[in-house]
Amino acid sequence: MKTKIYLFPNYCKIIGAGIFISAILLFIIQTQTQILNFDDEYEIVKILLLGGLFLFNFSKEKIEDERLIRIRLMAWAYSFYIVAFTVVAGRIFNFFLDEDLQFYNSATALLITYLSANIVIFIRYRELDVVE
Amino acid sequence: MLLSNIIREVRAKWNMTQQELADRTGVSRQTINSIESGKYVPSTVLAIKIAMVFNTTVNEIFELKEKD
Repeated sequence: MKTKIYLFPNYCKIIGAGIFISAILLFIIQTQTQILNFDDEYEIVKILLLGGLFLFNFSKEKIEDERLIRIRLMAWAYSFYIVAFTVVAGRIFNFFLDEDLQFYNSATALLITYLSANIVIFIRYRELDVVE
Repeated sequence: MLLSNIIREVRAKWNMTQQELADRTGVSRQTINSIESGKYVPSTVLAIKIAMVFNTTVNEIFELKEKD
């Protein structure tokens, strides 16, 4: 039985990880040196971070089976709870402490949180069963 | 209700490792391990595939039990 393929091939995971690492390296270079000082808002870093995380999340495992599909669904649900909690907690924090914390209003920040949380939860549950 | 199985016993009888069974059914070894330990309930297709590997029926390998 063939399941509907809605994910990128497995090699995209390596490309995604490469883009993610290059984003981190670029951020370090930008903050530590004066090279690439035209990008004050770190837009290139944000684009690379999102692209890398997106590719890593939406590519297949080496053996993509039905158990992984279930774990994927669970990981997306849990990471959504984390993002929802972040937004609500940010608003409560703002209301009571009168702080100008705008983290929860940034789509980029929330997407990065969502995708990273998904990766961590997915890998945690994928590796839960060890060799007997 | 609880779905119990005797995959581990049958596998031992056939002298087959989890990896070999995983390769023959097209899933990962962790999936076979999860099914054996009762953490994951397989789909009908996978249950039939496992039964076919051991030349038996699904009923012989999987059994529905009342939860104690």
